[in-house]
Amino acid sequence: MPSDLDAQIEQLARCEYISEEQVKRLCLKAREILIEESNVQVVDAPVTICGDIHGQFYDMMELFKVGGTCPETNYIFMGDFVDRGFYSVETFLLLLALKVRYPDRITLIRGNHESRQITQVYGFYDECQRKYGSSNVWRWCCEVFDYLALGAIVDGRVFCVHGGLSPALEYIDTIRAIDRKQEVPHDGAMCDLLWSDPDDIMGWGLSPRGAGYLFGGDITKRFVHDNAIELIARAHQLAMEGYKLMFDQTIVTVWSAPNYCYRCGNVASILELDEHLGQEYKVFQHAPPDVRSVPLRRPPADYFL
Amino acid sequence: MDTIPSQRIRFDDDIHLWKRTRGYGDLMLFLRRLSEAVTGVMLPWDGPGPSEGVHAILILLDELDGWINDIPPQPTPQRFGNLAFRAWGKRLEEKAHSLLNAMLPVPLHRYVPLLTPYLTTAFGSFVRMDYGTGHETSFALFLLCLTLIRFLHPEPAEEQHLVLTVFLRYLRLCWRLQDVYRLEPAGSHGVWGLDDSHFLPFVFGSAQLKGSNVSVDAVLRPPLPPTNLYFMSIMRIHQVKFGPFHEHSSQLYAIATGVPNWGKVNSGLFKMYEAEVLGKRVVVQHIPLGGLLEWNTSTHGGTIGGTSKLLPTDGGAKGNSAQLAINTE
Repeated sequence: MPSDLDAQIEQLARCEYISEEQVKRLCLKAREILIEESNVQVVDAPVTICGDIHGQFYDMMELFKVGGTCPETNYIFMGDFVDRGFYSVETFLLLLALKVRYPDRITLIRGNHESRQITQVYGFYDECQRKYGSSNVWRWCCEVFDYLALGAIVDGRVFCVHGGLSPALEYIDTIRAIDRKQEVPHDGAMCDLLWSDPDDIMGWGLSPRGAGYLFGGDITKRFVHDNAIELIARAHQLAMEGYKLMFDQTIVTVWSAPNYCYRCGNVASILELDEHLGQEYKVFQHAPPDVRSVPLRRPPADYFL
Repeated sequence: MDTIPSQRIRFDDDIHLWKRTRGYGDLMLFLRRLSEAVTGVMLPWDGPGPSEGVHAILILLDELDGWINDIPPQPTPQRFGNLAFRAWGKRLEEKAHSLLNAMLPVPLHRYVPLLTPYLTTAFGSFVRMDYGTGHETSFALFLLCLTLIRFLHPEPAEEQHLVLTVFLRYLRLCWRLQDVYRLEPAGSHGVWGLDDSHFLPFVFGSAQLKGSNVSVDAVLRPPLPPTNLYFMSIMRIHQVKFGPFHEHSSQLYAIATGVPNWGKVNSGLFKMYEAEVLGKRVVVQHIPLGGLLEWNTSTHGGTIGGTSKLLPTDGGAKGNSAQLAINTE
């Protein structure tokens, strides 16, 4: 029912999390929509492409101020919605509610943090426990993660993926053969798409992350050429200037979490593609302190009892 | 025992294995010994002079620090971390062997290949240009291995120096590397972790504060005097982070407002370290293990009270009967 969902969107937009029961229903509805999507979701321009958010809710509000609200602006979010920040719950649920409400206006693709293993280390699990007192919300969200697309392609020319390329995937079409509805594997094509990084090397290299690969300019240009695309947009790595173009502008890292970890002093960016696929990078800073609410005061972790 | 240390942990299940090894037991024992040695000891500290071993490590760290002056950050536009860090790292990788040869007496030279992996992974990832608690753990393992071969000695006076002189020197070097080369926080847990980059200074610092009349919430009233590693780490956070403390350092804030005394802070941090640093595959998968750090399962449970080979045979540890020494056969 649109009005219920609208009320939830309004509530989440105030950074107030919805009830456990509401989360359950939202996740079920989201899965019904996501299950119909392709591994590489086809998207029409104009669209605005965004990188990692990592629970930085108020900074995501800045993003919407700069890029326009959804559905007036179409969006692709390239994963890593959760972990590290204070507000992964509100961040992810708002994006999910927008997806259910306006399924053709917002595309969510999976990042390496949309994973049971990773979220149990980097904060989303803890946050769900703190806010809901149980792991149900975490579990349901992880089930939704399993349904997220692995990539998107805008007008057949701009390929969006969270991490990068895979030695197992020469063609975008090959991605369609993957069974994506599973926890992110430790290795293989699906893992690589979410974990790899471009680097100033030739060919493929071992990734220092322990998953995925490093790939050089030669690999990138060959992929772009062989797939008849003009740009790979990806996220996954911090960029001081908010975005970083490499390899003669065949690949760009878009990073949307300003002042990452409250220390990096970086700006964030979004990539706006107009209806002719003209590119414009818009850069923004972290939200000013006065717009934030006072965070949940919490007792120390159980280690200290 | 003479295998070169390598990355041993690949899957989550390997963590259970790792926690049962003698090497793991030795590490926990070593850290507890260091913590006990500095309990109640505040800076400035009027202890005995440093041993030759401690002195030699300080010279090594000073040399690495000096390289920062030789290798200034590059002015070219970069994604985030400065590429000059790769040059610093390359120099470390090339010179690690000779630096350790210079530091150790000749009879211990055969251990150099077992030590270099810890030294070269103690300052960050040169590929990713980041630094995190896994790298800090490598340095702790470096000091542990030097103790196992008896270059350093498991005696309280030496252990005090290891924390208050050596580890503090290491910390300052890391902070300088992070600032000059703009290193990313590696695998930070964000607001859900203790600190983006460091853990052990909070462990050692809370031990220093144990039994003092400083209240735990004093942390909330900067500036804090540099009398212990906990306060110094908090001040470091104030230097590099922007925003309210309860937001960017919410775990530390929760500890400051919710834990009654430093003893509980210290014991809680040990548990947290075992769970959040040593117990997470994503951290320890990168750490070289084996070699001096025995990978075999300890026959005595590998924890304090077992006969780990790390302690002196004179039983000089404060209330600790375990042993820390290597099998020289």
